Amino acid sequence: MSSHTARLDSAPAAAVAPNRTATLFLNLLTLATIIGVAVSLYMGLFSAGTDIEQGNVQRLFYIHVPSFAGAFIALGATVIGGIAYLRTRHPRWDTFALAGVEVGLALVNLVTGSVWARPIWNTWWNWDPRLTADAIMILTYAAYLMLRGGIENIEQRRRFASVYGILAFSTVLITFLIIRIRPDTIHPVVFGPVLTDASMMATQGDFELNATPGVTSAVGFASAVWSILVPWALMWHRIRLENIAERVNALRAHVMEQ
Amino acid sequence: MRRRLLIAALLCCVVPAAVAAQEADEAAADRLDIATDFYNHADGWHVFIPTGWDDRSTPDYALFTADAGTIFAVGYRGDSAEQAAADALRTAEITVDAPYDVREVNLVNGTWTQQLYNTDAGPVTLHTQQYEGMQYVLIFRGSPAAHPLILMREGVLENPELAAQAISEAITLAADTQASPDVTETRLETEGRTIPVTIQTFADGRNAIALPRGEAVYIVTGTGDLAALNAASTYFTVLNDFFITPETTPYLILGIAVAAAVMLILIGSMMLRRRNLLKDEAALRELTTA
Repeated sequence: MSSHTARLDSAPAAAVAPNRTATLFLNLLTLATIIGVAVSLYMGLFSAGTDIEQGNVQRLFYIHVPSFAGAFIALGATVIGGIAYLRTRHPRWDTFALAGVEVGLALVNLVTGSVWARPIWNTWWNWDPRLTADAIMILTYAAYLMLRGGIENIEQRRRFASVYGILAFSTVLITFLIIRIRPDTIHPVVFGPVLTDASMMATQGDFELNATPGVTSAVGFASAVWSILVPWALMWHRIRLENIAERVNALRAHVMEQ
Repeated sequence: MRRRLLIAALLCCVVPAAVAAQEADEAAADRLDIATDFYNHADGWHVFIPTGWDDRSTPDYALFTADAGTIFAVGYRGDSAEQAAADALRTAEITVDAPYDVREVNLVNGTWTQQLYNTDAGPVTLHTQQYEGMQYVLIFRGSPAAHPLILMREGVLENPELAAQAISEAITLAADTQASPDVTETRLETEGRTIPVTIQTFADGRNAIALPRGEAVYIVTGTGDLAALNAASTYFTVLNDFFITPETTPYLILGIAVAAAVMLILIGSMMLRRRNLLKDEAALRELTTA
């Protein structure tokens, strides 16, 4: 994928054939992702036991939490892409960062949390610290896409996007940490450390991973699929799409010159 | 080559994670033995195991015994509360005639139908609740003759007189006699908060204790002493803590639909953009070669 961009820079109008080995690996990754998602859904929806406190809505946990982990990875990739671009000024890193933002936004899944909250918290939405931080995070990354699209100069756009992508990751960290440091949140911490007095926390909708048969294996598998396979497969496809766009832009410039 | 190694490494992470998680599940299953609640995952309910009571439950039903009596809890799939009550009484090996009183009581966990029986072995209290195609049944058989029942009384927390009147009604219901208490005592006992308790003693050796809670009066009458009646009131705790798993499947379906829609929009938009770009590319190539 990166070789496409590199070659395009030197020969804008040249036809660049996709790398067959890369395509084969992308197809294999896509297939593994589809199978992985299907298996994780089966484990979450049918194999794992029903949570006795929350009923079937708790099964959203097998999508909501793992996909947030996938968003974390994708948005983390944006930071890596941003740093690498600022160091090397190679456009492929900017493409990598852009793919991370678009995929990360799709994986954040705030809406599944809202659907879960309706029967458990008796509300679709409240201004809980976690929900507020999550909403700010989504708006921050939505602004990334909008601001990026508004800068005409390519170099300037890439430089701005890199810096913005690095800084915007602070909202991801705050969203991740806030339920662990703020005792007034009602958002449950199902796993991971709590950095405040746990007895003071007013979380609602908690459940024990060990209380229901099959929960740990279902969430373990889903986390692996959604945080490893899904973001990388989607980002790879998104990068390929951006490469085609770059190719078309180069061709368009070439035609204009003629 | 680097890409191949990266993909192989990523795929290899999935299998160990699933295996490790499976092992954690098996370890977790062993730890469930120390739970203080009785869980029936198949029928979607759980109940608190009272401290000091023997837990003789099976996977299908909960059975707790003590000197104060026997508590039995079970869930059946079906639409008939009468059939469920009959099945529960048969399983609990309790023989009864027709109930002498049937009424609905509204508690924190739903509306229950309360049925009161007199048997040769002592009084029996039975509560049933219907929810989403299931019938849930709780039974208390008193020993020695402690008879818990609930009467609805609005404003009982503000007016202790209502609790005393509720006892009189309970005695009248149970013994089919009009009885006046020899001693009526209203106490305020603190267990973290103030709870008014009304105690009445009758000439025939019967005692009664009444605990107002919300809009209901929880009464235990019987020939046992105050400690025995108090122990029998444990049934009320079990009844109030009886938890029925809520039916939340529509929210699960909605959540999955939303998550799927978001992913489909992302994938669909990428496919659409790709198709349009390839069209543009073909057109531009035609222009360059023309």
